[in-house]
Amino acid sequence: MAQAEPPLSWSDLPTELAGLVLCRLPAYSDRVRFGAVCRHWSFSSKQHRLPQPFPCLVFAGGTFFSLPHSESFQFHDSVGFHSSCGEWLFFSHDGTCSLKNPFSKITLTLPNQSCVCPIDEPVEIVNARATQGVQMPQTSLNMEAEMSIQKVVMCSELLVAAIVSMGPLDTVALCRPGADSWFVSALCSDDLLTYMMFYGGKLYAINKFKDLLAIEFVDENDSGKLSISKVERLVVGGTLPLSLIRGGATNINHFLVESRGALLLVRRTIFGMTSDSDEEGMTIKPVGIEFKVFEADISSSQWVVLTSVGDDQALFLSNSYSQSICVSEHKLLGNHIFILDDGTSSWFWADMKSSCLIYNLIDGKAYSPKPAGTFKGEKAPSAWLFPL
Amino acid sequence: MASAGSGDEKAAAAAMITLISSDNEKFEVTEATATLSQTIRHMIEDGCTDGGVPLPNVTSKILARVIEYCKKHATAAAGEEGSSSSFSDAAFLEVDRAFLEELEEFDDAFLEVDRATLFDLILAANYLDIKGLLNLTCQKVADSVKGKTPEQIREMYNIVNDLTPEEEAEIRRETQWAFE
Repeated sequence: MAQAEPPLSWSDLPTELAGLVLCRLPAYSDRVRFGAVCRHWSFSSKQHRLPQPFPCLVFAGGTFFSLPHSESFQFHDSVGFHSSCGEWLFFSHDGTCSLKNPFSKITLTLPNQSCVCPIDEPVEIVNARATQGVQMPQTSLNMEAEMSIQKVVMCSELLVAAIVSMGPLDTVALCRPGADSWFVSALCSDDLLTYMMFYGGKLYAINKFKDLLAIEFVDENDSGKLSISKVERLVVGGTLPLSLIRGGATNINHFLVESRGALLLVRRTIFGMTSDSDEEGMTIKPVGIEFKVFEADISSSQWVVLTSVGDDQALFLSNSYSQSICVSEHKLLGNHIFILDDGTSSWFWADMKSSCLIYNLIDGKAYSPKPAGTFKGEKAPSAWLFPL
Repeated sequence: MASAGSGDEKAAAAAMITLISSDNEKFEVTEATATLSQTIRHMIEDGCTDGGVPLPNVTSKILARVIEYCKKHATAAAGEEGSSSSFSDAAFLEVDRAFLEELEEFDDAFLEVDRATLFDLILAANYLDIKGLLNLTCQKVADSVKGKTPEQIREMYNIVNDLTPEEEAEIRRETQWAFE
């Protein structure tokens, strides 16, 4: 009988069962260490398409918190980043730009911010805003103005997009990592883009009117040029219902995020009460926070209010990059929104116990992650980093 | 209700299944208990359970534990079906909650086993295709390794580090941060 065979040990845990255990480890750090236990577990950890782990909360001082726990790690080469995009950190010093993946240690050098050239733009514009001066290529945008990068959007390791300021105007710029210059579009400059993301081969952006724009671009391999081929207004923004506080201050931010194939606009409203008793002058004390989620309905060109994003989805929002994560193994976190101190609305975060806040979309309550006091102590900005 | 109860009893009495462990011990269980295992359910559907179901991969020690789990959870399933018709909604919810709590306590106590038994339970749950038990045991392992270093995990599960120095160096090169 089976006596001759040595008894199985934990290192022999069948690969598919190791996969079931790994699925239940939402923290990236736990998965990494599981894969370093022995040869077979290492093999197993590479065999599965696992649900995406929770992101890391990353501080500019180089401290990473691997959520959902409060365990922290040091990444010495990540100190002083500007913002994040997916699994990449964006660095910008004196015009020099680069993207760094702290996990794979890959660095992509981007063109210097002073190296810009205009895009040739015979583009198709669909459903443009009527008030918009439609065809004004290169006239309104001053290419001599200094370019500064606001938000970086990673399309692939071969193509990077950004919302950039050219003097007083904001527009879209594209570049190839390793190339010499940024290709700057003049077309989006009237729209004042506020948020941009990459999904399914296209760029999606919202402007100050909360229009949703789809921006298609062409990679002309022969000439080395990048250009924008089509800008289409998918959703007509405008009058979304607003909440205001009487006699107080409201701070409104919009985020764009893809969740289960739908494009969502999330509006964050922070309510504050002003007081001028302080000798420093007027101060604002936060008294509340509210989130509203809208889904892009392309057929009616409208934003439609959503009361739930799904009890298996959690949204991680930041000023530079947002993502929806499947939390089906951690039901308690479904329909929750995670935000962090990304350097905006500093008065809101000033007295907060944590640099991260969790909001329950169903009951409208916000709370700091437990244990209280974690994820705090370092300077903003912090950012989400999403290991793959 | 009385007639329905006696009918159930009759059906249950008629449908007993004999499970035979690898060390040839026989366990007689109701069909409701046995069919929590998809593997056995398919055998019953195929009509090949006469003379007992041999389970050459499961020892009597582990099979006894698995049956304990299935009995408890089979009652849970039957309770849910029965009560929905005989209680009002509010009462049903009350009963439901109390029962779920009891079930949770049972599961917690059930998992108070040594590492070797836990390992055998996972293999048995997988072989017998008992989804609830597999989820429960895998979750137990996941919870136990959270926040632990590879060395701590090896100690906990009695695992020999068989990575070559080169392999270990490679893993560390990519993920040094997780070990500091």
